[in-house]
Amino acid sequence: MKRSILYILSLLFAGLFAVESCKKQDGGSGAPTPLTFTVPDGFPAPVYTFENNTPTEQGFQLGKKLFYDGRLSKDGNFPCASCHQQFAAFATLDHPLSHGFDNQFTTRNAPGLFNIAWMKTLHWDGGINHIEVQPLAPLEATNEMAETIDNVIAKLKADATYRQMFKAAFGEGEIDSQRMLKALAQFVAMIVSNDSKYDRVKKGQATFTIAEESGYKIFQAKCASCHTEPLFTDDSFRNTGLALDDVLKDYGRMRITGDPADSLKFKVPSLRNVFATFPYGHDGRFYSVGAVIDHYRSSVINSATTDPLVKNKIPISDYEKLDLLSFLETLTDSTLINNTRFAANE
Amino acid sequence: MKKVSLYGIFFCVLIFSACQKELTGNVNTARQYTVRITFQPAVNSQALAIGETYQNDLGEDYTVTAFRFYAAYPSLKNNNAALNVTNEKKYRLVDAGISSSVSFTITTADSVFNGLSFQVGVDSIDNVSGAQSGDLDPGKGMFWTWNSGYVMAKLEGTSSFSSMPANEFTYHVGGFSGVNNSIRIIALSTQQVKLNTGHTTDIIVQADINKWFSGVHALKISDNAFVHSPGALAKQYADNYATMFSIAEIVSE
Ligand code: HEC
Ligand code: HEC
Repeated sequence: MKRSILYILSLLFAGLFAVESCKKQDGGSGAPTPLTFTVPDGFPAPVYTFENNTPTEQGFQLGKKLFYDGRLSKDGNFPCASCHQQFAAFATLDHPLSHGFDNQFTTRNAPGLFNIAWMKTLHWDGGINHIEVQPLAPLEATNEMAETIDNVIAKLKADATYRQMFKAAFGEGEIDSQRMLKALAQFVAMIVSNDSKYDRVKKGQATFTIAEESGYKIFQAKCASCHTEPLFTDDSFRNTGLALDDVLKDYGRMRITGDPADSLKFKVPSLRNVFATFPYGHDGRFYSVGAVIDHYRSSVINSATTDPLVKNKIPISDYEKLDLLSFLETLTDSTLINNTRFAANE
Repeated sequence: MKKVSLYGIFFCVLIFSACQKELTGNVNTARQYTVRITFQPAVNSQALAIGETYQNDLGEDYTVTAFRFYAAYPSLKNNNAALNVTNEKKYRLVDAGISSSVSFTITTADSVFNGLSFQVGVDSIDNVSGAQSGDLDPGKGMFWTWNSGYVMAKLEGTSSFSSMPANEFTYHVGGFSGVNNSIRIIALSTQQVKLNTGHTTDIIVQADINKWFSGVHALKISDNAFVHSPGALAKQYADNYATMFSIAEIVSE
């Protein structure tokens, strides 16, 4: 025991020493300001650890500017923020599918963006294996931003403000897709949601009402195996027995793995901020949280891949449904939704 | 106790010396030999002409509009013992449409070889480590944006046998993990070559496109006009193109 502590200490010491001995001479004024990413109490270790992408204030601000900049899209109208709106916890409010370039729609419902740093894979089908490469998907999709990487980079290079901001964040050297993607990752990964009423109750700073408390118990018994605390997702892929949409023909995870065992499985979404992100489901087919609960209790379709946890439907009485809804409302994080740090700069 | 602090010292020394290395310049070592490897896209040992019509071994006509692949870890061997090779870049995107991309040089301290090997494809780790630059820049059009991962090799063109719009065919071969792994190691034997200092030795490696259709598996354009995702078919194309390489010529001036 003592031995391993000493061992760790010596490693730490070695690490410190390495940092010191490797420090370049040129430090000082031009160096970007380091940012720390704080893992909230009770959260597991994040998946994205900013490896080779040390977060800095300059990198974050650059990422934010890119996130809100229409020039990342072909016609200038579809920045990331057009589909990921802060007041909707960075989802698209009120649209089952989001608008993209040339009056087209996305084929999936835009999820809220928060606690992304804890996700092993991104998108409803888990097709994206790393937060840094995620923006390439909307950038190049003809029904989203419809741009090419080379064009975007050319536009950024032509802009004096961007040239200055890239330099401030990453030092000398050309603007390239790697730097752009790293800056976007610094912004997106920093969006953490951990200040809902639920979180304050957990910290002993607030108390649930009787209905919320009862809803929490029901949630833990009937929902938490998939929507696992504290992230409210276990990051797995599941078939909850939704009917296949005849037009979209979206088989979810199977599209990525090619494995029939993954047919109709979609990533379990976090339920944090669920009241801010309507509509619901991978294609936005549900117009209220209540409608999703009704699905679990009455319309689960059984197929070879339907999850055993929902196969026999989830029994929920009308009273329980109301309590569940009360509890889910406590997951809304108004601190995040109003945090000017993540809002567009004027 | 004692063992423990020794670990610490060991680490310090290790790390310190790693930094030291960065500071000291290139030590002038013994002899260095330079070898230039040139990939020559071809059809049946004739240099490939973009837009020209060819016939594959399955009796189908085709023209090529794009042909690219990632080459990595070039190494020379002498009776299976690897020579000590210095290679500036881990990956090279060889593009039939960009003449500067088909050649590169490596240096070695050893002077005799009778084999060349390299990898076609991008290591698994570089498929899952986020944004990359240089030849791996996703702007090169060799990265799947909706199903993260590199296209290891790509062949595009037209054929009257294609059922796709405009008679196009597009083979984008990738997949890096588990059963979908499409990374292939190519090992070619050569005559015994003796390198000379002060001279660059040229190895011309031909890449015969016909092999994409019939190297190992018979893959008709009429059956499959496209591959756009990892899987069994992509692996068959990888098996096929793994056989497309041959040594055309070795020239030591
Ligand atoms: C046209 C609307 C649209 C635009 C523009 C857009 N997105 Fe999205 N975003 C979506 C949709 C829809 C999804 C879900 C995609 C899927 O699952 O296939 C998504 C998913 C994501 C995810 C994954 C979330 C998760 O839970 O898996 C991240 C991160 C993200 N977007 C960030 C961005 C960034 C950064 C940009 C700008 C570079 C951007 N988005 C631009 C619609 C959009
Ligand atoms: C078997 C795992 C599982 C269980 C159990 C489960 N869910 Fe889900 N839940 C999912 C998956 C997967 C989705 C995404 C479904 C889709 O769109 O294909 C989802 C979606 C949702 C959504 C929509 C969220 C959004 O942002 O689109 C809500 C709300 C929801 N579940 C609530 C609940 C509640 C309440 C319970 C308990 C009564 C519950 N879930 C039980 C797996 C589960």
